[in-house]
Amino acid sequence: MIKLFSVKQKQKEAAESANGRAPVKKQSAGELRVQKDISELNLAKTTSISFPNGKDNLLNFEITIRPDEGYYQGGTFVFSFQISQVYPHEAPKVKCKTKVYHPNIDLEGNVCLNILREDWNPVLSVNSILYGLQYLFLDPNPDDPLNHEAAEVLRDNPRQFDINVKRSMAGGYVAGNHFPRCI
Amino acid sequence: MHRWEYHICNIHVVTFETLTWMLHSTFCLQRLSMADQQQQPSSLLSSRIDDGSGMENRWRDIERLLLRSGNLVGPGFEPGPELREALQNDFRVLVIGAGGLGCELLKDLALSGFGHIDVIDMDTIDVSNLNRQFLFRIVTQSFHLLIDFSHTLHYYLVSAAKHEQSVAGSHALRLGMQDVGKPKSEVAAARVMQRVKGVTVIPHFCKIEDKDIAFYKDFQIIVLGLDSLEARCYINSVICGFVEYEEDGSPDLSTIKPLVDGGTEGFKGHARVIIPGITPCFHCSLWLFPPQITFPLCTLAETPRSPAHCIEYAHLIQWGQDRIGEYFDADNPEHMKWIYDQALKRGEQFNISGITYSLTQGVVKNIVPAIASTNAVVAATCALETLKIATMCSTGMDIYMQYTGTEGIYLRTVPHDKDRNCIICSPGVPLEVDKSITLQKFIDTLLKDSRFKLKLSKPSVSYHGNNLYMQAPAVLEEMTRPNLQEQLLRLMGGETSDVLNINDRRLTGVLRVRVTFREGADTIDMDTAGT
Repeated sequence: MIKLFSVKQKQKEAAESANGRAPVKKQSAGELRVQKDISELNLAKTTSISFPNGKDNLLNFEITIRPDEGYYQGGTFVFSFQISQVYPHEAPKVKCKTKVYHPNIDLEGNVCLNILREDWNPVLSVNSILYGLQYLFLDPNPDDPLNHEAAEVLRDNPRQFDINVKRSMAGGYVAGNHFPRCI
Repeated sequence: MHRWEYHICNIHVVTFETLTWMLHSTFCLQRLSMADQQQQPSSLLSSRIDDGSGMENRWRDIERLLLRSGNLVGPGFEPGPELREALQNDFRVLVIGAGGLGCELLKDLALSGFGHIDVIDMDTIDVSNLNRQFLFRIVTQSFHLLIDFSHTLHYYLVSAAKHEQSVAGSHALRLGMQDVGKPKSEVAAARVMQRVKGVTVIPHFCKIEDKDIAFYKDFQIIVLGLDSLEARCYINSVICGFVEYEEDGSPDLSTIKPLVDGGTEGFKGHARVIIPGITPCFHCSLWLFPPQITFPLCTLAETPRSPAHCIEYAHLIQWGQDRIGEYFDADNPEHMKWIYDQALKRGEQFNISGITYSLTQGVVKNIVPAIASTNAVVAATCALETLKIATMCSTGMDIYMQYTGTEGIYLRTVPHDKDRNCIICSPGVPLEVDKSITLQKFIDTLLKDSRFKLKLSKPSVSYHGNNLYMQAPAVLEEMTRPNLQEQLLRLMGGETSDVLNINDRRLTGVLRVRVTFREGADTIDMDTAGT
């Protein structure tokens, strides 16, 4: 225990003679950690990153993935990342901004990826999430889906699924829903 | 030997802190002193000190701690009447939060002798607060208003029975339920000043982030009654940012503002003391907190098994589908009711029972039912620590106390280790550079410095939220490349000594470097020497 306040030396005097430097807002822990993640990103040639709010706001950025193999080859998919002030204690909030026909991504853009929810831990990083997202396009998982209709088609009739994906990416209707062109 | 025994059933661990909070809360303070010959065997009823005002000395109990020395006092304790005067006049304490903990804290601090207290809270009073946030009332204690009270109660019970909680609220306001809907900080401040003569409590009805950083510099001690990690992280980084360091890396004591942090959840709570620069800060031990409970989205969509799954489905998935574009506001009772109704339907669909409105609130807002006694214990501990820090009247808590009241009373105080590389509170590795140095030369200097040699390969530099130079990814490198030729002192806004954050692939965390600008430091370039 250290003595910080002395009665003999009145507080008022101490306050007046305090350092005149104007206090400046510091960076939060989340910002510092995401800086580290971003400077160490292993971007594959199919992935790119952009900062819509400028170089100083790393808490909100966008990732674009262009798969070069699999069902989604040739498509362009944009994901928004939102990092909180207590990152990495909390997972980033990731949503898919491109409407896509996928068993694990619903039509509102919610992404079902375990490390974004129940399997997140602070040792993971933005890189791990990127790997996970790329994997989603290379290997869509029909078990435990968000888009039930897409999952059923993938499970029962993969050729039809392929056709549906191509049609949705080209900007057509699948199962009554319209998908904007993204290829 | 003089021992004081207190009989309460089921005490598992009795520590000094247990006894003092219990005694403090009931205003029967006596010191447990083994060899204090000077202490008269005083009984609570017979020691009436006449201060000439005609009433018993209201500060009798506090003065027992402040007027005499003893075996358990803190280092540098200076007993005397000036101490209580200093508490009354020279200290400014800030209480953050005027809810469960905040109400108790304001009462305890005002009655402990602190004369100038500020309280900040962004919420308004809700009916559900009234069972424990005792500074907020339904009606004043006035006889003819008791009749109003019974009418009010009748209306409330009837409306509640019809599941019209929001209607009950508006009835309440119409019939003059005194405090519901008013700002917590303002009502709390007024009530405390009404009951405790001589204290000044200044309310602030806003978020802590809305205040200018300089606002927090006016206080000597800050006591927290917060309910979220984010708020604690914020205030922690502000207070740690105030600390300045000497050349040898030790903190300048006059820039240190202690934080006393309390938190409660149901039957459990904690109290801790943070002296930034000396004890671990809040961020040093953030890793101790367990992760939030989240469910896989596909489980919510495909195979819900529990009431919480149904509620989260309605909250996270259905809201986006059915109420497109509308922002979900957890404090809006209509939004909450919608979630509850949808969750009920989903529960029926999947044969899951147990979905209630209060469970919905709990899952969506992460609320745990609050218990008044937990708040009383934790707040009393915090107020006592504040008194100790201000006066040194007893040895301080080292450093973190946990309380569990599920079966009896369990208290345990443990020390924590400071994280030497904490990105919020560590002083940073000192480095002296010339005033004219450019950012490029600074990075070269870092790479040549023997202390960093194996730890750096391509360092990125940032200062207070501005990314001065990022080595990757390519788009950021391009945006920040022009800064390399700028003077570092100018990029740092003219500050002659401050901390830069260095990130590098080889480092496990962020490296903090405390840069001090000097004329003619060794790093001066040979070309510019001699000027």
